[in-house]
Amino acid sequence: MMLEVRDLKVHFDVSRRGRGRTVVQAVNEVSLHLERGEALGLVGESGSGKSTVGKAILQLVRPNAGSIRVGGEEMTQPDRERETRLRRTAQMVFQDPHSSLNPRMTILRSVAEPMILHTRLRGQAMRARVAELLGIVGLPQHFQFRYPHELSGGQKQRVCIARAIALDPDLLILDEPTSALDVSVQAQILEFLRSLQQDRGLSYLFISHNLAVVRHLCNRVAVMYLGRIVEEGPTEEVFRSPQHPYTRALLGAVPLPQARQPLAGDPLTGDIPSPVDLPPGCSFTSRCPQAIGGLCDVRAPDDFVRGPGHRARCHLHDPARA
Amino acid sequence: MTGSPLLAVEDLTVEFDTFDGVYKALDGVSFTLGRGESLGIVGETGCGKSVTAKSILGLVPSPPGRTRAGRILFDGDDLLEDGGARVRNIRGVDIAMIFQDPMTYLNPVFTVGQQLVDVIRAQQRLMPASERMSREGARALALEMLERVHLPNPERQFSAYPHQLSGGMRQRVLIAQALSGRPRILVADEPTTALDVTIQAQILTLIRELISSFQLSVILISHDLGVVATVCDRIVVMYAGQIVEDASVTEIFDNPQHPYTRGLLAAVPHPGRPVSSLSGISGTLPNLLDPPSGCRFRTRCERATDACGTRPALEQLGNDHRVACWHRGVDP
Repeated sequence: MMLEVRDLKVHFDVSRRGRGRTVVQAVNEVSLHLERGEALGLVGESGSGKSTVGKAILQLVRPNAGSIRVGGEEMTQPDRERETRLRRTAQMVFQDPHSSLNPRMTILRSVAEPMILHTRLRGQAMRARVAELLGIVGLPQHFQFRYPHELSGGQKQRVCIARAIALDPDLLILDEPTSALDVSVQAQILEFLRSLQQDRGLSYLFISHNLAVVRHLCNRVAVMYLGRIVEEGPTEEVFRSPQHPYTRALLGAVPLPQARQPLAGDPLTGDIPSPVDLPPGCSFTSRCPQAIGGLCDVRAPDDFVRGPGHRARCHLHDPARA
Repeated sequence: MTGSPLLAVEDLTVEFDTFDGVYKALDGVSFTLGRGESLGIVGETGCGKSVTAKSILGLVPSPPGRTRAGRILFDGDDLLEDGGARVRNIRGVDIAMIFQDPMTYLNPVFTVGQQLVDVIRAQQRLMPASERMSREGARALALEMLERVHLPNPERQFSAYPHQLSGGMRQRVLIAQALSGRPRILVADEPTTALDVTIQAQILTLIRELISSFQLSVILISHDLGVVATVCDRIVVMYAGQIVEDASVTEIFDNPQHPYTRGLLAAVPHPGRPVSSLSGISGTLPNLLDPPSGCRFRTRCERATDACGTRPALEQLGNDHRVACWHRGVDP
């Protein structure tokens, strides 16, 4: 097992003097697992907590509770040495390539950074490795001596990927890696990520709000809403027969690139509620077209199995209710 | 649709002076917008979509911007004549615009209601005196507009500040502002790009509803072919400051002729279709300080030949389909 997350809870204290205690419940009881060589898509709207899950796995934010095991090793107890090891096993690619490269560093320096921090590779050997990495991500060698502002968005994202795979990690956390790019460039990056995964047996946690992109790249998908995973299953299963009303709404909201395609179904009304002071019951109740009064707004639903590896957190699927 | 189009852009050429030279943002852009029609403009970042929209409203800053040639005919009148005086009288009243990031276009220190009333009163000044309304009238209209864009609790949101609203609600306010002058054309520049997909669906549904209830003609700019397909009747595809293809939605999706249009379509991951190989368009947009001669797409085009050194004209193919390519339609 590459990655196992159990009952992860991340709350942020946003109290301000004189305004009492305010807690943002970003992630609640999130459990997920990722086998070696697998790609898991984590989808949801902004504010659903998907990026926080990614950051918590890399210990970029500290979880309040729960367990995170990367390659079998428990990560939640702070320990510098273990964290250094974690950086060699798992790396992250962020959404905005413009702000994740230091504008004052050449590409050579940026890509070499992980080697300087984690290995004894220096000088010629290190340069050779940078050249090799640029070759893998399909950038010409002379880019080594350029600065980020001389590169396009797609090229910068390739540099970020080169940096992320510099230490030969087993797990890549990709946080919306193509959202800032044009569709034509997005297609190039997605194809590249796919062949990279096949060549090196990488595991991906792919965070995205774009269901089409996830369908293209991932074999399993987990849908998040307000800090909880509401549905999880094999990608084809979830797309063919979505079980949670939220997943259905999300799929219906994607505008299809086809002539005169009206949107499927009614769009969800309202906005995603604030993760401060979550209401009791199922957090989707306020927007759910199938909410059951007196149940959904009172008691939070459990996870119900809907097929092999397919589960949904919704009262509609409670076998005891039928 | 009656004889003359509501808006006709003819041979529009816009340049920007930069320290590195002259940036040729638009080069001979021509298209029309019929009455009651919704037109989509698509293309990659930097292809000139937004400059086209801003030119129509006279919003291209000058200097550094310069309209080198062309005419923009609104109902037969050229908006570029008499140094922009004409466009000042129609901007926000006959032609209104909404933008990608609503927060940038709302003033953070005034309430939603105040700004909406201010906009309505500014629009009133451009109307004949007999049609002007009182302050109370403007307030009533503001509230009515907020209701018509389905802002929840309009009475309460009237006195809310922009930061208290969500992104989708802010875009609704901006739409209310744009439509309060009863425009005939709404120009929407990437109106849903900053929004989540479920909120995007709400806003697109709203725009479609308003098209019929306000009898609007719409120019919708987007890089997302799916968004354009849900709202528009016709699509103009732009590349590097030129129009490469212009056809009905059905034609663009079922019978694309230009290699760039085909490339764009092949690059979009389709949520309804299982995994298939995506193909991007290799290379990047040419530098418009020094655009390639002839067809601007030839540096990235798989079918490019010597013929492409000469610029292809936008040729009519019948059923309202125009394409600028020497090798159109021929499958490789």
